[in-house]
Amino acid sequence: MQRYQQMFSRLATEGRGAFVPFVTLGDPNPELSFEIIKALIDGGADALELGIPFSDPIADGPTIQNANIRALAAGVTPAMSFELIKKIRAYAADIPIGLLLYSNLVMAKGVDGFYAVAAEAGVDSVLIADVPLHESKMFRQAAMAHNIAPIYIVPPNVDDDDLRAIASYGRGYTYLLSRAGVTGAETKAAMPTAELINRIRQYNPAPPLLGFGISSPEQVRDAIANGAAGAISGSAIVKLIEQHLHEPAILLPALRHFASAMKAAT
Amino acid sequence: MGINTHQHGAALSTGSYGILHGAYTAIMQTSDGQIEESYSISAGLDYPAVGPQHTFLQQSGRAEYVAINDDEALAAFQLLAKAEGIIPALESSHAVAYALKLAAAATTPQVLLINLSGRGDKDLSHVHSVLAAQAQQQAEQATTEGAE
Amino acid sequence: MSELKLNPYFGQYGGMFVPQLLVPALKQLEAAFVDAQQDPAFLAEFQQLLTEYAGRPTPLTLTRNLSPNPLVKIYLKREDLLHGGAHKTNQVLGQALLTKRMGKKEVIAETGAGQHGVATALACALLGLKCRIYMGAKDIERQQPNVFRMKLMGATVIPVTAGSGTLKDAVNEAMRDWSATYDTTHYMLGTAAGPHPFPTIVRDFQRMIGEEAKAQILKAEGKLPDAVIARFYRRAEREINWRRARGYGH
Repeated sequence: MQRYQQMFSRLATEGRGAFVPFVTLGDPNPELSFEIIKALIDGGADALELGIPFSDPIADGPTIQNANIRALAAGVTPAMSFELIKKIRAYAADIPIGLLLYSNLVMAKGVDGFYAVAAEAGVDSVLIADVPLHESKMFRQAAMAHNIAPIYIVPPNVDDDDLRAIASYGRGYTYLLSRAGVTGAETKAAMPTAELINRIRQYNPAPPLLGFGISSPEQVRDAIANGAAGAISGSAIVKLIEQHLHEPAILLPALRHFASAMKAAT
Repeated sequence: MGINTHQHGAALSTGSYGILHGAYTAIMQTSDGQIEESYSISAGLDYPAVGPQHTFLQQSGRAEYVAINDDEALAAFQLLAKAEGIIPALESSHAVAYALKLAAAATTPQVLLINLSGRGDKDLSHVHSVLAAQAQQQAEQATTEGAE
Repeated sequence: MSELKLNPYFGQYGGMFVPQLLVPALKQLEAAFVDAQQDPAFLAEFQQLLTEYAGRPTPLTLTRNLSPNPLVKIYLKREDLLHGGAHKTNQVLGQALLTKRMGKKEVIAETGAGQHGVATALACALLGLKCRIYMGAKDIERQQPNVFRMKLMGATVIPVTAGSGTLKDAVNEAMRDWSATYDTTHYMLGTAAGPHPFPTIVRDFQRMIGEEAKAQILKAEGKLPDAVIARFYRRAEREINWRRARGYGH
């Protein structure tokens, strides 16, 4: 998880924020997925947020649901996802890699075993979409034991007690939710005010990255202007994948271009 | 063929626990933790998890969970209709089927109480088509056997 | 971290494994439930609906011809006679009253065969709540009469095509909807499952079945029954199909 600290101190020196793309591992198949992630790194991604495909992604809108379905249909398993992460780690030794997934995938082979495998593959952080603060102890302890940052979500309706706890338990970065609802570019991010981000920062949590509904460079710029340490964009990228599923020659340059435009806004 | 009717309900007997829809409980899943798709031929309580308190009651031995197969439930559905003039829901017919087994095996005086959770109106067309298909199958078998 | 009012676990099972975003909605529901249970006005209104609208108490029937063994008496607790045709009506009335208590005007629900959808629709019609029901596309095809019942009572039925198009997928969609609408909308879960506090709420809003049955059997027999048999899930059928699909044999 030290890679996050290194990234944020580098960005601080540069006076910039982080651009973090999200994709589902193995979408639409393991080979192309690796090329997709390489293109995002080459385009300028500061860190990666990667999903392990799951049968019932209740926090995701249609775009990322379909990414999960495509990857599962391609036969992608958690074990294959970790193999993919190893290749990415070999390609980019310093980039922070975060996992964003659902609790049952973490439970299936035992919580400690999951984090051990993740650490070995080169994962820096784990965010479990359906584990809120008060159910997080077991996961947090296993994460810390394997030097993996437990990531917490700060929703717009957060109260001060939860903020205090999230600030003390979270490592790596803090996932600042732009709005209610599920993932997707259909519903635009509601830009949190500088006041809200200031209130959050008073508790001194790990640097807040804004996610949900982020699909344009303007939104990245606004997020950082209002005090976020960067922005996470998922559905907009997955939509590109969906549009050019069978045209890697178009898809990969488009992803590189998207990533560099988003990065340029930081 | 045929399911061993004394085995416990599927999710509860596999000893497979995990998280689905907010609760840690007995669930149907692959070894990787993907939730199993539903393969049942009929709509209804075909859900790959059980309520968490049921998992607890089963684990603590406070309640016993028994599986009843389609044929047994269907027989109980028809029997209750004929014997009492009450058409039960197919779901409730499972409880009736097990009570009939308990009753048949009893060697001492017993009082059994069935929670007849619902009526069978919603199941009429489904049961009607299943019974018609069975009758046709039996007729075909009889013809085949006759020809031999 | 603000504390919960009730234990979310049954032994080691249960809990509240939902996105952080939904935690305030579940805590609000828990608080409303705990509060309502101590409010005589709430309990009286619930009781009145159960008695005058739904038809409680339901009878206990001693069967005349069902038992295959003269040593055995079989009683039926007649939830089939409840308005709506199943026990489902009990708890939706309780949850609909909670919805109003929380100041929410809309309800979402999931349904499989349509029984919980019908129960939700009737409770919402009665209490003036707007209601939308998620139902697997396959289930909609198989359960047309129940779909029509729901629509007659003013519910919107939303087909779910994702996944296998059945109950599990309908629950997924209902939860997704709720994560955007919890401020104005109650999620009326249909069974004693899901995240805390639903398993506790649904169980407690169904406890009158057991309480009535206990009093009725004591009156009839002067003792408790030797066994109580209830339907649970239609697991057997599922297990067979699940094993067949994977070639496990039996």
